Amino acid sequence: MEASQETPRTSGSTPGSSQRTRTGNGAPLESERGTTSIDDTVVTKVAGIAAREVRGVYDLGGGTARALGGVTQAVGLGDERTQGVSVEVGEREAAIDLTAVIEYGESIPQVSEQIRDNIVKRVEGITGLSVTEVNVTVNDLHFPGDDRPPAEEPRVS
Amino acid sequence: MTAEKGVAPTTPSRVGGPTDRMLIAGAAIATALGEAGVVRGHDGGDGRYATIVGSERLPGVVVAALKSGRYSVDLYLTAELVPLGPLAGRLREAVRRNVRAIGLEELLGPVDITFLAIEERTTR
Repeated sequence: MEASQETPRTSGSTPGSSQRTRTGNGAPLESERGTTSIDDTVVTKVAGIAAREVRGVYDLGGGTARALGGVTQAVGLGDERTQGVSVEVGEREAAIDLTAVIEYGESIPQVSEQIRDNIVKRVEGITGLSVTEVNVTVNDLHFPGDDRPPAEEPRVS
Repeated sequence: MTAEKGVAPTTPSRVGGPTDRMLIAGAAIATALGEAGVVRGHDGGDGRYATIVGSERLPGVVVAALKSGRYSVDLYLTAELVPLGPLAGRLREAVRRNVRAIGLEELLGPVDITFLAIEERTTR
C-alpha cells in the first residue's frame, strides 16, 4: 500500500520539515551579515494570543486539550496561549488551524471571521510571514453558568 | 597560509584572559539584552545555546570560529510581541557597532538571530 502524500499548504514547506522559518518583514531574509529565523512556537503563540483577543472567544482547544492544559499549566508546564493552535510554516508563509470554544449567543460566523482577521493581522505584522489560511473549528459553546461549581447539597439535615 | 584579506589572524587574546570568542559573545548578548523588544537570551531549554565565559554562563549566544578566521554569532532570543524582522535588523547593526567598540569588528562574521519564544510584555 502506498503511503499517502500530504500536500503542503504553504509554499516552500514540506510536512515534518524544519521547525523554523526565515522571515522578512522589512529586514533582509538572508545577507552576508546574517539570517533571521523564527521558531514555529512563536507563530503558534502569536496566533493563540490573537485569537484570544477576539470578543466572543471563551477558550481555545478541544475538551481533552483544555483538560490536559489545565493540569500541565497547574504544574508550571505548558502554555495556554498555544493550546488548540497548530501551524504549518514555510519559508515565507504560514497556515494555521485553530480549535475554539465560543460564548453562547455570539455569531459563530462573525467570531470566526474576526479570529481569522486578527490572526492574519498579528502574525503578518509580527513575523512578516504571509498567512495563507486560517481554519477555525468551533468545538463547543460556553454558557455563563458553566464556570460556577455545582452547589453542594448537605447530605444530612 | 595567509589570513583572509582584511581579517586579523586568530590568536589567543590574552593568556588566562577571555578569548576573542568570549569577548564577542559577551558583547553580542549584552547588546541584545539592551535592545528594546528583547526579553532575554534563550538557552534552548536544555542549555545547548549558551557560552561559558570563566565562571559565567551566557544563555542565548553561541559564537563559533569560521574557516575564514572570523567568528559567527548566533543569538537565540525570547522577544516581546513586536515586529521581529525589523528588530533583528536593528539588533544586527547594534551588535556590529558594539563589537567594533571593543576593537574586534574585523573578526565578526555573520550575526544570525533566531527567535525561539515570545512573551507578552508592555514595559521593560
